[in-house]
Amino acid sequence: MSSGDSGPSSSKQLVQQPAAAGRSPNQPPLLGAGGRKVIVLKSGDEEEFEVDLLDAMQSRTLRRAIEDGCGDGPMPLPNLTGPVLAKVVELFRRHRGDPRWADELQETEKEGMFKDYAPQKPTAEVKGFDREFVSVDRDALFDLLRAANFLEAPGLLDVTCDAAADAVMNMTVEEVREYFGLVNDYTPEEEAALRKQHEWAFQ
Amino acid sequence: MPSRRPAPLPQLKKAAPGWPGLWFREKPLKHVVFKMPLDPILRSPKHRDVAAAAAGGLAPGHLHGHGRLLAADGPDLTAPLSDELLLRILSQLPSPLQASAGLVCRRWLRLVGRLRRSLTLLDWSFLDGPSNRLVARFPELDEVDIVPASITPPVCPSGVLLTRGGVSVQLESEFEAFDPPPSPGLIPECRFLTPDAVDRGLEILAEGCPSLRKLSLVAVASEFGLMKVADECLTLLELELHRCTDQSLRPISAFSNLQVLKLVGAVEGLYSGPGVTDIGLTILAHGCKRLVKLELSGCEGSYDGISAIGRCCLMLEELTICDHRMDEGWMAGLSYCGNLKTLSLVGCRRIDTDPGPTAYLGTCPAIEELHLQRCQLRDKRSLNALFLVCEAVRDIVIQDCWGLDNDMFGTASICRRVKFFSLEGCSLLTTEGLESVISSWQDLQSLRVVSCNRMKDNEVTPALSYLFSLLKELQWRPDSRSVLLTSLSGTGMGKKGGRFFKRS
Repeated sequence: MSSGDSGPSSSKQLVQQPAAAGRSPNQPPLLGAGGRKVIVLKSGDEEEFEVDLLDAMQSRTLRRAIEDGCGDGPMPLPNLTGPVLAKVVELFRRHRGDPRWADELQETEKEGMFKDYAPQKPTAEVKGFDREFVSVDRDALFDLLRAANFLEAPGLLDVTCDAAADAVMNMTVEEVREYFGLVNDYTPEEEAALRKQHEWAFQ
Repeated sequence: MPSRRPAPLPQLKKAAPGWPGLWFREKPLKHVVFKMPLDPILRSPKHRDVAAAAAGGLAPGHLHGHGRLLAADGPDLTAPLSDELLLRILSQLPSPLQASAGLVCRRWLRLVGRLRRSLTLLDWSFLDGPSNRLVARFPELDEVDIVPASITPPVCPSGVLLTRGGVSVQLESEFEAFDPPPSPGLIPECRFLTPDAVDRGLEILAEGCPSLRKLSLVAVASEFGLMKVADECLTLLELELHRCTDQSLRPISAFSNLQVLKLVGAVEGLYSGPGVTDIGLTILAHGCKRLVKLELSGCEGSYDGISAIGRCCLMLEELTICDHRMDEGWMAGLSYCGNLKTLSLVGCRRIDTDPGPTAYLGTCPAIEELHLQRCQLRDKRSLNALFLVCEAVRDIVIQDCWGLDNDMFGTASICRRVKFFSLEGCSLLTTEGLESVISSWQDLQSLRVVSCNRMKDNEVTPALSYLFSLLKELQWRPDSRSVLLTSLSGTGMGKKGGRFFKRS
């Protein structure tokens, strides 16, 4: 487990749990198990997830929102569904201390908030989790890609983009179009000219 | 989160047979329907059920093992993804696939163009054509080579390709018909674009790709193009000037950050040109004070030019001299290069016909490496002078040099600090000659001898084998036949045809 210092308590606190209803928006961030700060993320289909504040900071989008003081009440994420958010939250927890984003965090550090977040190399276990994370079908992969696109979390982006690149690695142009649902917007002449340019115009 | 009301179901049904269906003709309709609904419909699990039921009567769990995004927007799955994310995906693809990824659609073409960093231009019209296609498609290039496109293609190409010094030229199909031959050689000199055309192309390139780091071009007499590049591309570090002349070096001082420079004055068989002389070298020395690497290929010049470079370019660490035409005595100028670490001589017919008295030669104080490749080492006096100048050298690499016999190689024993020595493809040197020199190199740690046919394993004396045992690293393959066999192993070649003529 890559979580450096949080102890066994943190590994269980993030299971899906309905958040306390009727909390006033001005309440300070919740204290989760082990006394860590947590925030609540609310998916588009009204599912709520408690996330360790520091894990949520992996996402640049969430970090901006937290820094703007939106982290007090449940944070609505209307374009993510519950199942996707559950997967992403689990990935955040596993990527705790990942140098890919922890370095970035050190730069924007305020008030020694992240001082116990020493970057550490992803272990084999985390890599295994990452592989498992993206061994899904195409539609599910695109759900994750869109989530990564929205949340802007480096680890999530790396994992999902690598998987998408691997998926199209040995495809023809037509297969790639079909896979991504893209429409060929070239005229036949344009496409022929493009193919030819590779031969004579440059290397 | 303000709760919006779910859109009424009939709207969904109306959307289903719309144009996106065309793209998914082969797939069941439910797929289309499922792509179409927008945010409000799938606001809650309950509505999702309804939508799924409407789409094809399937339970939601069946369709979404992992859950779906709510904002599926038409069939294009990449539409909601940012350029940055798509760039991440595309940058993971190997480069031949990246090139064909541009054929997928216009957006991908634009994105793939942004990923491309280096390019060799083959057709000038791709650069200065009506829509500036090169810079429009590849705005983030940092390495551009426009030399091949600067050579005018033949009127009727013969299909014969002539390659000299890294440049390939198509030959005119009737080059034999010239009577008398236009140049002393068999082949007429290649023709280049006009200075105007080159200037115009450089202007477009400089304005379109301001982040250039390396540029290879054919120099022209006019200053305009190079000045434009110097003005726009402030981060340019590397420049290669082909068919360079003294005059074309005048704007060189405008490149304030230039660190690596290659000048090609003449290439035998392609063009002779006025070339670069002491004048050009002096302009260069005063203009590029931050130069770290310099390569002079086919350049003239003498002691004056080399010493000017040594005096002015204080950061110069690497000097490569290819096929030089320099006047006698040039080598004495090398000692002014106080920081020179690597000196390479490549393809030189002579080192220095008259190096002058040894007392005036001096030495390069910081020299570490000396490379001699494809040089004719037939003049003992000049070779001796070279080793004197490089007396402090630590690594010596001699590769495919002619005329290096025991007597010539004996001069290398004046270098006392040699730690690494590599000898390849020198067939005149014998084991005895090698032993006499390396036994005087007390610091030698690493030795490599490859393809030197005069050296025989059975000639290795006990003294020499004791010397070998002291080395940290030894590669001893003087027999080129054994080298050939190792490189052929597994290919089925080099077996004397035995397996073809075997009787069954």
